Amino acid sequence: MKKGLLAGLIGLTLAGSAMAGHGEKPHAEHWTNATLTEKLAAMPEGNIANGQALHVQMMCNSCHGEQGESPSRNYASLNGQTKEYTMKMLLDYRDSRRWEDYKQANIMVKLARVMSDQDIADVAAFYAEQDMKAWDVDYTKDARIERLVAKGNANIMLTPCASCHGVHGEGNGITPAIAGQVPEYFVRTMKAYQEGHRNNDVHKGMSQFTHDLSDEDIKALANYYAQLPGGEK
Amino acid sequence: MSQNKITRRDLIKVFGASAVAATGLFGMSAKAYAKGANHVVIIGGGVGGSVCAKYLRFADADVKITMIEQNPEYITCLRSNDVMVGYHTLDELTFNYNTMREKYGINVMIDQVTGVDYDRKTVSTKNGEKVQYDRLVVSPGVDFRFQDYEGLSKELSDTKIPHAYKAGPQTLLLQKQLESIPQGGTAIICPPQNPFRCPPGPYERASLFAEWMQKHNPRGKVLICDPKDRFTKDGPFKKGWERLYGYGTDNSMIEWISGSQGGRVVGVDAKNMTIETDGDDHKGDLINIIPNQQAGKIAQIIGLTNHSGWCPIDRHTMESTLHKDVWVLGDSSIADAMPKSGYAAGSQAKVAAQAIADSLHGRSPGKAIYSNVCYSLAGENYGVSIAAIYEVRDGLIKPKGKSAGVSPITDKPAQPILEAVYQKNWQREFVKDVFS
Amino acid sequence: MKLKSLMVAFGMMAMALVANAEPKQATGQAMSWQCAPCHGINGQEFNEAMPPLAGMKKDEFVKAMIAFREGTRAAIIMDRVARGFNDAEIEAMAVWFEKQPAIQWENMTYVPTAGGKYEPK
Ligand SMILES: Cc1cc2nc3c(=O)[nH]c(=O)nc-3n(C[C@H](O)[C@H](O)[C@H](O)COP(=O)(O)OP(=O)(O)OC[C@H]3O[C@@H](n4cnc5c(N)ncnc54)[C@H](O)[C@@H]3O)c2cc1C
Ligand code: HEC
Ligand code: HEC
Ligand code: HEC
Repeated sequence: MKKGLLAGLIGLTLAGSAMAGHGEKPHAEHWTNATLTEKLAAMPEGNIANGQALHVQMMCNSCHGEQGESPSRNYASLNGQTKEYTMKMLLDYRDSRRWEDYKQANIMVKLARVMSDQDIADVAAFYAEQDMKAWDVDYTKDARIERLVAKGNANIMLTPCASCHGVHGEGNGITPAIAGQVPEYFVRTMKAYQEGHRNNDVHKGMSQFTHDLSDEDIKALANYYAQLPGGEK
Repeated sequence: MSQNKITRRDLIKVFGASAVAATGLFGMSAKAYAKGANHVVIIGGGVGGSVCAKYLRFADADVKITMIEQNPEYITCLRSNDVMVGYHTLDELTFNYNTMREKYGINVMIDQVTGVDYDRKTVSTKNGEKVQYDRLVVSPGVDFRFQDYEGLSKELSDTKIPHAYKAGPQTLLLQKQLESIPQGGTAIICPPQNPFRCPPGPYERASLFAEWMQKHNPRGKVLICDPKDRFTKDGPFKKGWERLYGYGTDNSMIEWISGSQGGRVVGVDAKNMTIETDGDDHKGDLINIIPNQQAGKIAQIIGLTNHSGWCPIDRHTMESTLHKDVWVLGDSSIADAMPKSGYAAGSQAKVAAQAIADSLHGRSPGKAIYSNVCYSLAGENYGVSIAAIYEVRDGLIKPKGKSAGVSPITDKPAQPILEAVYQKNWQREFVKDVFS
Repeated sequence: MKLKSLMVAFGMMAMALVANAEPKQATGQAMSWQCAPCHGINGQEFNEAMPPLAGMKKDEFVKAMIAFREGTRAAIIMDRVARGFNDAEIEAMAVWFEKQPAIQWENMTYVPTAGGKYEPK
């Protein structure tokens, strides 16, 4: 494994400025439901123990925490994430579908580029195995937000978040778990969907729901989901 | 108003205007300036000078600050090695002083300082200005010792044997020379003797040249002729070279001749593109002699240097030990274990800013804590770093606690990739800390 | 009354003594300034590599620094930085950073101008 990674690293360096982080964005084909399903089905079976080893070997732990629970406001939490979503993200970084320009996904793009399909499947299996954890936020029960989550808002054609992300925010397949997500990251990625910086979702399956949310809504949703795991429900 | 010819009246205008501009931020007013405000004059608007000006403003909202810089724009040496191989443009590394003026109310004069009268506490300039100070800060960078090499001169460095150790036209000249090396040709890099600015600089340059050649001149070679037997971060650098450029094998793209192997350059024959060393003569298609260095020329002229050619300072405050009420920062200063880097210059400037504010208000200075972190590239996606926190112990600036360390050499392939990205993030933050 | 002014005088003397002695510790602000080239002015930067320190809860800051120093939290660089600080110094920085207002991570977009500048979209 080590050898393969190192060779990948050298290959990456050799390939040089075509892959430069500050250059033009390479263009990857957008997924369709069919191509994505096909790709995910073709991914190898993940190995949890190898995934854990890679998590350390690739220093994912220095940002995402020992078990994938981000120790910082800066990084996304990966613990308890669905296998499919983690795999999709790493593939998206690797092929530059998720490429939020400046200051955001450069690290993930470079790391994903030295990961094989097997590596990706392994870490995904490892994260899926970990428990979600609540993030320490001040949340006071907010009936309006909880209704938005559970019932949506017909006036702005908003499908309930829970109908896709699950009643406990636990996710399902390529729809991510969002319970216990770091609120600062949650806000940023929602804003990124809203403003078109993040557009790796299939057929705008997520970003379409962000357009009519106010900054206040997004913040409240972030806090609600952050405290959700193990909280009242 | 022409920036080069600032009259006394203009000066007041500038002061007034900048004070008003900054009022919102720091609660200053033009009136507060007019009456007996302390005046700190800073020579050199590079890293040390600019950070000092800005943090002095944080430490003291009312002090009058004038920074005298000879060029209207500053090009950072930081990442100028990248320019030579096309990862950056010089344009991206160029900064002006508008933010200094507008946001921090600093009077930036574009002029060259020619002398200082310590008795009258007056700085004089090429354009004939006389500026009075209460406290003086000097951060003029380095001066190159061409005289240490037979056949080398400033003129030659501008035309044929560039050092490119001050970012600007020579950076672009060296880039052109790299691109003109015939297939299978040789680039010679000659690092200076210690101490010198940016200790990893020559080795990063060698790395990036080798990487460029892999793509554009695959039989090309980089030859490093060094007067020294060791260099900073040599462990991780050499590991990177092994991994990327076959260092240590017969096909290595980088060859390093150490001092004890006769690597020291003693002269250059520019016509025949040959260098003379303690060992063999070497012919190159590009010759990059980075000369030995000493404190910036103005520091020598105004008597701030000692026999070493560098400026002795009080380690607790960065105040000169040779002249009172004068501070020396950055490359020019003798800061013991701290390298001559931009990070270090900024770190010292913050300590000095606080010490100057304290001295103006009759407070005794706090304990000095310095820091330095240098990121270098052994390849575009291969970073190596060194980091330390410093304090004054036994009269010298020394690493504090167990903080000093270079990148560990591990078998973790992500480490150098991450450090290369961190380097980019760091560089963006760093120039913000200096100029925005 | 007398006693009180005596105490005031004594207090002032003690303060003067403290002021003259070699300072034992740098202020929280002076130390925190040293972190700005990575963490931004007042620790307010927010980017993929460098986490913000502004507004960080004091206990979390202390916990993080001690974990870096003891090697119990994985790090690329902070272990080497944190080993330079003792508990009291970490505490002083924690107090200072907690008071700085946090700024939410901005989404930026690359505008390929001549200077290759980055602008908020
Ligand atoms: C290739 C290269 C790469 C580098 N990379 C890094 C890096 O990655 N990280 C890092 O930390 N450091 C790096 N450095 C080092 C860094 O550039 C210097 O250490 C830093 O600039 C020192 O700051 P200073 O204030 O002492 O001098 P300078 O920044 O050089 O500023 C001196 C200023 O004084 C002005 N001046 C001089 N004399 C006069 C006068 N008589 N009147 C008016 N103005 C005057 C000059 O015009 C200049 O603007 C690098 C250097 C090089 C050469
Ligand atoms: C230097 C810090 C850093 C390191 C190391 C790092 N990441 Fe990340 N990671 C981030 C940041 C920042 C983001 C959010 C980026 C964005 O917004 O696109 C992220 C996002 C992700 C995501 C998407 C999360 C989501 O909810 O959409 C996954 C999956 C991920 N990282 C996996 C990994 C793996 C696997 C590794 C190790 C191979 C790793 N990361 C190493 C900083 C890091
Ligand atoms: C129609 C189904 C659907 C609905 C409704 C929906 N989402 Fe999503 N959401 C998704 C999918 C699918 C993704 C992953 C998209 C991708 O691949 O980038 C996603 C991604 C996200 C992410 C990014 C997670 C991460 O780790 O980066 C957040 C946050 C999120 N959704 C929040 C919400 C909220 C809040 C609502 C309700 C206002 C909502 N979603 C409604 C399907 C949905
Ligand atoms: C060279 C850049 C650099 C310098 C200088 C630096 N840091 Fe950091 N800091 C980082 C990085 C990168 C991380 C993420 C952890 C890692 O990989 O090392 C971090 C993480 C942290 C964290 C954890 C934040 C969180 O959200 O969990 C704290 C606390 C911290 N640093 C404090 C400091 C303090 C205090 C200083 C100054 C004394 C400092 N740092 C100087 C780069 C730096």
